[in-house]
Amino acid sequence: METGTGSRLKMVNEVSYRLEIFKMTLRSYAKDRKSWILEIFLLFPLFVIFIITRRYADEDYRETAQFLGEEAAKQQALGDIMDLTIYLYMVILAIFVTIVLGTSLLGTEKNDKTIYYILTRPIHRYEIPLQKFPAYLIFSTSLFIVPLTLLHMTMMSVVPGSNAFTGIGLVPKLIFIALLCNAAYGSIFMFIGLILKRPLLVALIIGFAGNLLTSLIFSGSTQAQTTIPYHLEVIGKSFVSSGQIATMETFNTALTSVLTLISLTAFFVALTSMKIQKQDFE
Amino acid sequence: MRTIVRLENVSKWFGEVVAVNNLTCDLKGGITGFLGPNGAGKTTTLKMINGIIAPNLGRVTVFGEDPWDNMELRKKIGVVFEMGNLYDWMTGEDFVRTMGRLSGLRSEDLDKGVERALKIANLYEAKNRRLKGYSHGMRQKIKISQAIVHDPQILILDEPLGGLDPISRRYISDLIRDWEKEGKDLIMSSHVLHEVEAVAKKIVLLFQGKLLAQGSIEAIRRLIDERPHTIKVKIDKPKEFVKEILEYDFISSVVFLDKDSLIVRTKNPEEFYTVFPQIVANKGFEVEFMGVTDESLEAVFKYLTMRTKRTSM
Repeated sequence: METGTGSRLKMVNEVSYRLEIFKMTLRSYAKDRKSWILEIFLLFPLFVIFIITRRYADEDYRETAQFLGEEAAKQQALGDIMDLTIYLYMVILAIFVTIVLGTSLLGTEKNDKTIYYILTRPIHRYEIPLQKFPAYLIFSTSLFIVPLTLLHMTMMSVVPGSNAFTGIGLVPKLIFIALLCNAAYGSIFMFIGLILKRPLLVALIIGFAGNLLTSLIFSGSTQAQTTIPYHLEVIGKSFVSSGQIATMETFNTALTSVLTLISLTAFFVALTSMKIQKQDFE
Repeated sequence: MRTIVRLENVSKWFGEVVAVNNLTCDLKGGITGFLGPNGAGKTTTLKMINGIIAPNLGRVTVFGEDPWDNMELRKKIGVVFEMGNLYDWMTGEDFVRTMGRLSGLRSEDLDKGVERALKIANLYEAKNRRLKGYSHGMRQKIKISQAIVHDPQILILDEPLGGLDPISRRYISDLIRDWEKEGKDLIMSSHVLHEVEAVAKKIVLLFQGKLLAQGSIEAIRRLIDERPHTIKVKIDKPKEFVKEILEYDFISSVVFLDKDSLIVRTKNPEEFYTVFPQIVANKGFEVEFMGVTDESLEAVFKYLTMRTKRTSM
């Protein structure tokens, strides 16, 4: 008869070998030159932001501090950081990152036929996206940690009465937004990478013309609520009291937006799992 | 002898292309070779046997079980596909170890399995090198390592000798024979009769997705040998090689394709395959590629197809 320890050990083995694809995916991202090019791509705008901040924004913040107090200047800077995070990093740069990393998640394995090595192992097919996607999410989000932290420090360092670390509590919130953004776009692009041979064009259309596509079907608040950028804006707005984002019109709470993005992600990951479970790999 | 694989009225098509057409056959233990020209349906059949693709019609069973998404069965099968890249960012050991882990091996079993698989493929010394830097022969051997790391009962090899230099070719042929000596089963595919004949006693002859013949290869071999064979050779010193090979009367002609590739026509391929490695070794030539061109074999298959049609009329 199997002892309790023996059966526990067997269970641990059973779980740990099934995490092998997760570990392998993380390692493949880390070893891929493309990943580090993406990191440079995300760091590059900081040079421009650094120059602009020192040339124009610091004057703004000094004026605000002079007339409304240092706290108001701080809030203004935090609003600007959120604006840049949403409108530059999430709505433009994150789309490139998620397209590159998301479509390659299964697409590259399928095109290179390295997926055969996994398909011939004792692992259920549906488990492949379930293991690969978390690895993608961790890696893609980690790419944003340094740029968003530096963005915050660059902006805050010119605010009168503040230093680079003032309001640093905003950074985890920015990273949380990046996580949701990467999850939502990545899950869609992972699915596209699996079903299409050349997914790039379709991914670019979905990424950059999502608003236009949904406006063909919906209108008003429904149209807004069917786009990923809108939900990111709603979440971003809930974290700051100043900036362009603080003035936008919203139709639901931040919690609803968080749940919407999580549901969208779960839907596409599940769809990918279902698809791969039935798919022939010629 | 026990049946390891059974294909019952199996058909598979991709769009409008029928890759396998109503194929029925039993594969017994030992070494079985699937023989046929490109497009005969060999790879598709092998993929159905290990559950990578499912048949549109018919039934495939391995050890009496459906291979599709069958976890227990996958532990008993090792697969090497001709096409496909490797995880080039990994080292040889890393690759075999990862595949061992994916097969469920742990701790001591994994260490032993990896060491054994690398030694069998003669890659133990190169285990710390990146796969990116491996030669074609080494890549083929590391694919075999990853397929045997979990000590499967059946090894499935798709064109294992394709495009290999004579030394790697011989090494893998020996490895296949040793596999059978251990009492295990092996299914391989090839479009070169001599490759299959060198290791397998039983063959399944496929052409255009259909079964032409199954069983002994002697009769078919005779038919093939009666026809001239064309063999493509890519070598570093083609002119010196031609000078050497034309000494033998079984060579009908030699045609240069470009500065380092040529086509050799022979009426006796067996003698050619015996003499070729000797010349290469004696003269120190470097062979980049040596293999039969499809046209000659295809002609034989067409002939056999016509013969089958005539006898069935």
